[in-house]
Amino acid sequence: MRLATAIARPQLPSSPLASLALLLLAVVMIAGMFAAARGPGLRFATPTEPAAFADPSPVVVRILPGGAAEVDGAPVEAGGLPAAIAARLASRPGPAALLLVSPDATYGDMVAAYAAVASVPNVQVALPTRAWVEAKTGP
Amino acid sequence: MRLPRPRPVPPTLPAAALADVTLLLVFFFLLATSFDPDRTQVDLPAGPQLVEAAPGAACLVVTRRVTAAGERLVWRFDDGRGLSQELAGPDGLFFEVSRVVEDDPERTFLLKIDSSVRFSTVDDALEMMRKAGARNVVFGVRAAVGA
Repeated sequence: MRLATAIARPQLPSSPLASLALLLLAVVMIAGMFAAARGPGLRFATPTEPAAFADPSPVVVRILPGGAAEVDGAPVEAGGLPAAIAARLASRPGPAALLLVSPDATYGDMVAAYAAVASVPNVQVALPTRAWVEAKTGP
Repeated sequence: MRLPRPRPVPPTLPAAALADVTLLLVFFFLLATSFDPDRTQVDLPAGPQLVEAAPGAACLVVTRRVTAAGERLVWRFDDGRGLSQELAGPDGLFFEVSRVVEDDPERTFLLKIDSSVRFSTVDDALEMMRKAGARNVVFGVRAAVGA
C-alpha cells in the first residue's frame, strides 16, 4: 500500500495577525481617551500672591453685576471697554490691566469682560482673587 | 509495508495561542476597569479660545441646578486620570487639588463653570486651589461661533 504524502500549502498565519490587530486597536482606543485635549479656555496672569504682581500702576477694570464696567473708577458704556483701556494704557508705563470682578457678577460676565480687555493690543490681564485685593487694600 | 520515517519536529513556542490569551486578558481588563470620565453638560460662556487645556488636565466642573426647592450648585472634580467624583463644595476641593499637585506640581486645572454661576463661587474655588498649590489654571469657555 502506498500512502499519500501530505503537502503543506504555503499560507500566512492570519490568526495571530488578527489578534495583534485587535490588541493594537485596544491600545489605541485607551491611549486616545487620555491623549485628547480637555477643551478650550483662557488663562490669566493670576496674581495669587501679593508680591506676584509687580506693575505699580495697572489699569483697574471693575466688572459689576450685569456686565457693566468701570475703568479706573469711570463708568464705561458697553462696547467701549477696549477703547477706554487702550486710552488709559497709553499714558501708563506698564501694559497691565487688573480685572476686579464683583462677587455678584457671573462667570459669564467675567469671560465677556476678559474678551473685551484681551482685544486691546499688548495688554496683560490679571485676575486677582478677593483675598489678594483685601491683602492690598484691606477688607 | 514501509512507512516513511517521521521527521523530528523542531521545538517552537505557540505564539498564536499566547496572542489570543493576551487579547482575552486585554478585554477582561477593559471590561473590569471602571472608566468614568465626566460627561456633565455645562453651559459655558462663549469667549475667545486662547489656550487648549492639555491632555490629562484635572477638571473642576461647577453646575447650577434650579429646582422647585431652590438653587443648588453641583461640584464635580476629575483628576485627569479618568475618574470623576462629586464634591461637597469648595472645601472638598482643597484635598483633591493637593493630591494632584503633590503628584505633578505643573498640572493644568481646567475650570468648567456654568455661565450663570456667581463670581463669588469662582473666587472661592480659585482661592482654595491657590491654597492647595495649583499654578496652572485655565478658565473653560465655549468657542465663539465663527472663531
